[in-house]
Amino acid sequence: MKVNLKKIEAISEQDRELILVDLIMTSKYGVKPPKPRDPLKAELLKKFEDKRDGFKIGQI
Amino acid sequence: MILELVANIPYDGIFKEPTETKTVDGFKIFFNNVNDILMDRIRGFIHWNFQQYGQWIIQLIRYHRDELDFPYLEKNLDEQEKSVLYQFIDIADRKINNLTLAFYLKQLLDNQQIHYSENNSEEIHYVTINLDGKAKNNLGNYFGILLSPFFAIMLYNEEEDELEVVDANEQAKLLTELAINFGKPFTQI
Repeated sequence: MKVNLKKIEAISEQDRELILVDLIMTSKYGVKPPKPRDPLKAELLKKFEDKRDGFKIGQI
Repeated sequence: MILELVANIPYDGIFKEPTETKTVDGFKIFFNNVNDILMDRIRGFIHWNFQQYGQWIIQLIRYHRDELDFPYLEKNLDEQEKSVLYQFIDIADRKINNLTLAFYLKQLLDNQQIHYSENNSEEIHYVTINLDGKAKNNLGNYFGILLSPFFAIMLYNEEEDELEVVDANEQAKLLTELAINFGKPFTQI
């Protein structure tokens, strides 16, 4: 069976780690429906995170 | 330097006293404790299903390992949260690697008597499972699990007659849907 190598190469190191985390956690705990946090806090937090292009640690 | 001040109380419930510092101009700045941020991300990951927090938890552990206060974390996280924390530490420390996963996955498939073929070359290592019944009608003849260079699930593209890795943010959701809709072998993975 052939495998599309281009698609494999296109996945970043960060996404590779994300897949690992997701699959391990899913196989262990399953996927739960998302529960919103306090909507006001969530909106505020999301606004700032979007502005920074996500959560950043270290050299912002 | 730009500071974004989003709240005067950083978290609900218990939290460590933020560290106070002063700029040369005399402005006070309060820094949240990394242990509180980590707990918040773990809870978000588990209870709010914020999958993107996973990467942040790994980074917090890697960059701030020496500042982690384990007695404090253990006291304030529940059993499931603690278990997830230690799982993430293993991932951050790269104790869980492709070889280990490949070993466990093949053992799992063997124990469940799920037949698969294995392809292992220098650049890629994966297993292919032949599908039948409802799963075959919906997904095609094959289902693949990539074991190296990274761990991922792959779907069969009938037109190209090849396996293609699924987008990163769809992997967990897809695996769950397959398990719900088709049962074995997806429930075993």
